[in-house]
Amino acid sequence: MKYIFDTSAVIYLFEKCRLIEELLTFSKRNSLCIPQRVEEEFLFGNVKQSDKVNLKKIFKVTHVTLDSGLLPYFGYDDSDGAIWVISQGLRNSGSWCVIDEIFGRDLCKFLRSVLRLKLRFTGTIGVLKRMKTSGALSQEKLKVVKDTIKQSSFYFDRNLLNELEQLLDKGGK
Amino acid sequence: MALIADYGLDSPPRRLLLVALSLKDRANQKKMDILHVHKVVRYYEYLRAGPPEVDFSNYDMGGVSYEIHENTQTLEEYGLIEKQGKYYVLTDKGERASKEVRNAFTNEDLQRFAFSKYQLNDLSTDEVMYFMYMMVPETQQSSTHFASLEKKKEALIRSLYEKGRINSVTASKWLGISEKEFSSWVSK
Repeated sequence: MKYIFDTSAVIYLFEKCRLIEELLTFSKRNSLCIPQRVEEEFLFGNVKQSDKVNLKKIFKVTHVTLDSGLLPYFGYDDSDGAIWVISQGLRNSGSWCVIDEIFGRDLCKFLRSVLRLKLRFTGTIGVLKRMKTSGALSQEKLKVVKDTIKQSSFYFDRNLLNELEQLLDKGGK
Repeated sequence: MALIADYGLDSPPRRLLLVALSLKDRANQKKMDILHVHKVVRYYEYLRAGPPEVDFSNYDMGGVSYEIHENTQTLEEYGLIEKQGKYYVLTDKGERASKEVRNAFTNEDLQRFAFSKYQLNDLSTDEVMYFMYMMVPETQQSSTHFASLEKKKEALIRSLYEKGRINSVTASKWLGISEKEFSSWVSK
């Protein structure tokens, strides 16, 4: 399976939850990609050299051609990583866009349900679920992830947090 | 094409009104109050980024159109739209007319129009007004409402963000802070 990650998903999984080994294992059977814009966003600021190396090991940085038809929806501003993720997702209908922000997810829903475009999307929770199912992530680690996300000062939609709770209750199934 | 000729529906404000009322919002509703009609049409014009099809005034509420206002009354008199409480809806004849006028739109323009209604129609008065003032800053000029909404901007921006109408890039710009600061602020 191919996944195209937006910045927030990389921040949660990679930076906040430190799922380096788990992501490496998951990337052996799945293609994990980030658009160049997402890489730039993630690397903006102080990032450890070891994280830069691991980022390259886990994620394939992809050159994406912007779908200019999406620009109006983003207020004619291409700085949001989601516009690059969705552009790539629309060109590769078999791949999954990994987006957490409500705006980006709602736009995906609109493109899919109203405009009938072929587009698949999930979020950090969806990826965690697949990592758990594939055996790349243990139940114990999943609990740590939930606590980390809850304590993080980074915004996470309450509905997605509830999904994570449910995932834990079901033992990750 | 009979309805177009009979009711002068090739006029831009009439076409835009009929199409706005024919589209569904997030709750699968077509009904719209008059403020949302103005704002949805104005946002569609912004998304389209072409030459304006109707005139909008930036006075009073900002981003409202006398042409839209006048033609709403005309379409009501023609029996193409009707008022149900505070909302406007298409009549059966209006539904047929809207199908005819849709042919004058490109597929891309219809998609943008649909997005405009999808994003705005279920927002509160304050939310839709603030969204438009910020998205189309020229509508702030001469507006008598912008200053009072600006005082509530933190609550409005939070609400628009949590409802998925703006992304963190836009929200942080409107608040005048960095995206990192915004993420920390919104999580509180």
